[in-house]
Amino acid sequence: MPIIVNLDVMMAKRKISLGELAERIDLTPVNLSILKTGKAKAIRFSTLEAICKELDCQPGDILEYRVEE
Amino acid sequence: MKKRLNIFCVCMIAAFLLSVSGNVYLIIEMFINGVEVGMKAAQGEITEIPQYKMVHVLPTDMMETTGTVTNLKDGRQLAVKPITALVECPYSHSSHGFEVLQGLIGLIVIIGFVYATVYFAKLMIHINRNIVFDWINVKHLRRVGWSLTGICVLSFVSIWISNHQLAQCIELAGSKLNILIAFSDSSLILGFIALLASEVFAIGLRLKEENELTI
Repeated sequence: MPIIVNLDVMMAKRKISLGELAERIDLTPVNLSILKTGKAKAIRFSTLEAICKELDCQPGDILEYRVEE
Repeated sequence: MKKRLNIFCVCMIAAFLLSVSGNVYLIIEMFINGVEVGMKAAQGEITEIPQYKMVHVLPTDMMETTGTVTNLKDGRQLAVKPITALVECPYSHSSHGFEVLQGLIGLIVIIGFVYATVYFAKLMIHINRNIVFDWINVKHLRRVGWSLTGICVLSFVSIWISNHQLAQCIELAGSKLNILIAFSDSSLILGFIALLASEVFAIGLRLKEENELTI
């Protein structure tokens, strides 16, 4: 998929673990892992909002569009 | 929900058995007749065994009488215009290669029917075990669909071969051989319905996966 999830990069920048972030945004670690590894097919605005709020970033910092070769 | 599914399954099997019962009866009767004639020939009572072929014809001239039957109600002779009949066909006109090919096609068609039935039964067992929206069911439905479609295509080839052989030795007055009368499209329709259902299942599964992977 040409949409790349850079959640791991932002999490590393904010020095926050997957479990901790999952707990803060009220999401299961399994679901957050699916999102982090790029296996997710879609993301809800509410989830994106919660992640942006916790990581103090913009949606563009987490999601990136890259042209498929 | 499952009770209704199983009732429909039983109804379908009953309808299938009813639809093939005529052909099974014909095959058994012809087999018994063939054995009796063969035994008579072995004992020297018959010198030549007549070869009959199933003929499917379309009447072209309604004035031409193919034969007559007696109406027992009033004793009158009534003209007959058969669409399907057993007609004697000299064996010397038919090729052994074609006979073997037709036999092979018949065998493949039987195997195909068994294959489709087995996978249909597997599908029903899965649904009864609450495994409904699963890729394995899509595969089973596709197998049922393609095998039924294949059966139809092979049956058409067999009919075409039979028609080709008959055209060499038979030309009936007032009728012409017609391949479409013999062609049964029920397995083709069932095959396409199964393929259509498999695609509906696949779309449902993709939607389910998408829903499950929405975070």
